Amino acid sequence: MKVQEFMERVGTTSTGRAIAYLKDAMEDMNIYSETHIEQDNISIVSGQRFYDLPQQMVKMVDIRIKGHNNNQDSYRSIPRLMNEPKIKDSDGV
Amino acid sequence: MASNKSYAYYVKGDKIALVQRNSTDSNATGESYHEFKSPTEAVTNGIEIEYTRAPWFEYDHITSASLSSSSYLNNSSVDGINYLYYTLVGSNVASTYVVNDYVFIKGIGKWSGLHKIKTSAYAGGNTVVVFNTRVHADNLSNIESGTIYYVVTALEDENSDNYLPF
Repeated sequence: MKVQEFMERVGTTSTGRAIAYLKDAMEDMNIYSETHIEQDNISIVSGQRFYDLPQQMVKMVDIRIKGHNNNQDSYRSIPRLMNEPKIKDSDGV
Repeated sequence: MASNKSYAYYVKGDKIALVQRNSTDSNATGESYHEFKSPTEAVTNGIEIEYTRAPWFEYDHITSASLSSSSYLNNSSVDGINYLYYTLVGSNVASTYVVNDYVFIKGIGKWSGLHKIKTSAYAGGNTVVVFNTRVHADNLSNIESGTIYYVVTALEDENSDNYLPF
């Protein structure tokens, strides 16, 4: 369905506002349910703790690390810590 | 045989913090044995992030360009403002990157995402594409890994299609 058809159905002539509402709706949809899944890879740098997340990410679904608890270099999900570890590091912030 | 490594993460602001269990460090003893610290070795494409995104753009998953030492991203100053730009050494593909179109970049963390094309030209034997994306640094290192998807359609005007799954 084109944006024009949406605008006709709700009776608006404000294109910018209609597109902004549509984008907001699409973000909300992906917060509550996962309609569009994407996957991205980042290289691990020795000694670097912090890594940037993709700009367009709405909700994180899973983090997998190559070689986590295995010797086959396969990707496995890693746990999320409830608290920050005692050993601090600001690399990458 | 490679030794087992054990990782965990936490989120701080807009970043993910990756930590590795100290038990893989042969010098770790006593209490520090089970503590977490920053990763101790580099792993190419070691982090795989699965996430949801708003479907207000779609891209052709096949038509892409890989970043390398002769096809890289950096920053360029235009009228005193730094923008992200893409250089392809030795080829003219300027017509592929149309001004005001979008590209979608993956695999480079902070710069992954949608970028709008500001200018596109072939000069001095290289194709140079400048994006509208501002870079708040003067000395960005060449980004030589990642993928640029350059066939992208986005929700922009009345004639745009939406990409909802119904």
